[in-house]
Amino acid sequence: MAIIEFPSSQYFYYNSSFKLESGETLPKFTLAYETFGKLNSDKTNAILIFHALSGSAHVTRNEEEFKLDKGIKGWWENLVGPNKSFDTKKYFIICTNVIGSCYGSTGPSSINPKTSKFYALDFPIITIHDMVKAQKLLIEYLEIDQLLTVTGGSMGGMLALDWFLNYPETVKSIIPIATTLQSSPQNIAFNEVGRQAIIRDPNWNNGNYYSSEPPQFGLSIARMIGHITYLSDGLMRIKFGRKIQEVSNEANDNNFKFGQKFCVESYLNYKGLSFTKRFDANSYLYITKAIDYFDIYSDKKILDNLTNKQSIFKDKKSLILCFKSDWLYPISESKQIAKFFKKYNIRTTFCKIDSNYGHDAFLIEDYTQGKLIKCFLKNIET
Amino acid sequence: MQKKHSNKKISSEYYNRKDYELIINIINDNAKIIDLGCGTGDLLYLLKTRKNVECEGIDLSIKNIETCIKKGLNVFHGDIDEGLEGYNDQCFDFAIINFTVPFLKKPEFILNRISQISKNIIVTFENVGYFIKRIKILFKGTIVKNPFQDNSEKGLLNERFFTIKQFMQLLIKNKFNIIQEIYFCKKLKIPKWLNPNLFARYALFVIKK
Repeated sequence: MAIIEFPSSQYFYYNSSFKLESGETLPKFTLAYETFGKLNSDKTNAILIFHALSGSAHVTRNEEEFKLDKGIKGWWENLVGPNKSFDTKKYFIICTNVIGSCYGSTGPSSINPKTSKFYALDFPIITIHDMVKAQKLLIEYLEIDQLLTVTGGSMGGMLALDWFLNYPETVKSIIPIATTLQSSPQNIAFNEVGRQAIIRDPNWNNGNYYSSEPPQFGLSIARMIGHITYLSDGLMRIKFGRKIQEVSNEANDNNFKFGQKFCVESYLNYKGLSFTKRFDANSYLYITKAIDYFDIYSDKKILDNLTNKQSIFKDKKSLILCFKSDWLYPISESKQIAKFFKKYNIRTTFCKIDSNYGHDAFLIEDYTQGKLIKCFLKNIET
Repeated sequence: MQKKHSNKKISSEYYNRKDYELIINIINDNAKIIDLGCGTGDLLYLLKTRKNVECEGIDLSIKNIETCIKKGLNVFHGDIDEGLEGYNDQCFDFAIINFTVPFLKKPEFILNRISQISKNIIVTFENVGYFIKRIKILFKGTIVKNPFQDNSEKGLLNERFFTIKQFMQLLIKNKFNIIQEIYFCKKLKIPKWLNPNLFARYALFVIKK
């Protein structure tokens, strides 16, 4: 599997050694990122967007691509773009990939400069904070001192929280969406099943598959499990019901002949298979592990920061968004964020959005979510 | 009368709200306050602009929350009891329960919980003992709607009614101290000696523990 690149991506090369939370170091790293809109002369209109587990820096398309309806669609372009909630005519939007990923940044599918071979499992364990630290270096390189807001959904929300709580002096506000302060045992459990599916695929070969067949089956099963957790029971009933999908070509059936296939089955199979064409199995292992380790409550540095920098946090605003049908990062988790913020006198607005889309709602629901974000941002500027 | 509020400016409409006027006069400058059932945030916005208060609100309706966010207010979307979680003891100077008592699921429990996080509580409610209400109940058999809070369109029925007498009994039972009591009708105050339980349409109490 080669590194997946978008033509619109820019690259930040950090050529010094980069120390990780585990104590290990990366001799150097590359970070893929994209920017949209223009940075104003005072450099006060920058917004940093973080992506989720399988996301990339390609959050949206540029204005011209929008006009001509060209280019590859971005993962959040219903909210980010010209005249959208994150208005690229008004704001300078930065979206950066994470280390560990396969979308242009240094990860297990990159070449290890020490051995000139693929990193594979020689890639060190990374954490959410390591990802954020690397992104901080990029923002410093771009010479931006003040971000209007940091935002993201799911893992993107974790990255935003980690940034906000570690570097409060660099941000005015935060919009954490469908996320948590701490990965729950249920999150970890689902992630582990996904990882086991990959590890038990014979093609995985201890992570050394870059010159042979990749562990497609394992990765597709991991994605199928993931997908179930991103949807809701209600949505599945509406979207698929108990409808049967006729499959005439038996080859598509993986030689499994228990009769007809339900729509939901073929949907998951399709999603699983298409994922293997765009994602690296080792990256999946590393990033899900980083998500599992995420725990603000036991992060001493952050807790010290909160007590020592109370006067800084007092002026910060937050908009915490969650969705009623999300059972992967349920409302209760977002309520905990609100509770936590209130304890440290951070100005908190909490909102639960009625949606049937489950966890994926943060990518799909643009109406209410979009309006709330737009209203919130308007008041940050002034 | 409160149907359409402009979101941007304080219109003269607000001054027709005797309850707002009374509350604004009670709250001191730069106080820290929370409005439980803040609606579209009109009162909070007034307090913010006129008294420079640090304020927060709780409301159940997403539409109201959206309007509040537009006004730059910090709000919690949800039930009052869930919105009260996470606050440090006595962190507010005033908690406001403006005409939302009828919607509290457990009024006594909530009042006690609020007294933990706020030094003072301002409660306003409609007095069901008001003589016109008594007459209407007698002849019509229904309770007159509160013009300050008509939720019939939203499908919410006012559920818990109090007379002033009953509310005072509740305060005594729960050992609240009454700091201030004001009785009023739409535009004028009713003096204390005039049997407010019969002649006051509305009541405002400032209480604390």
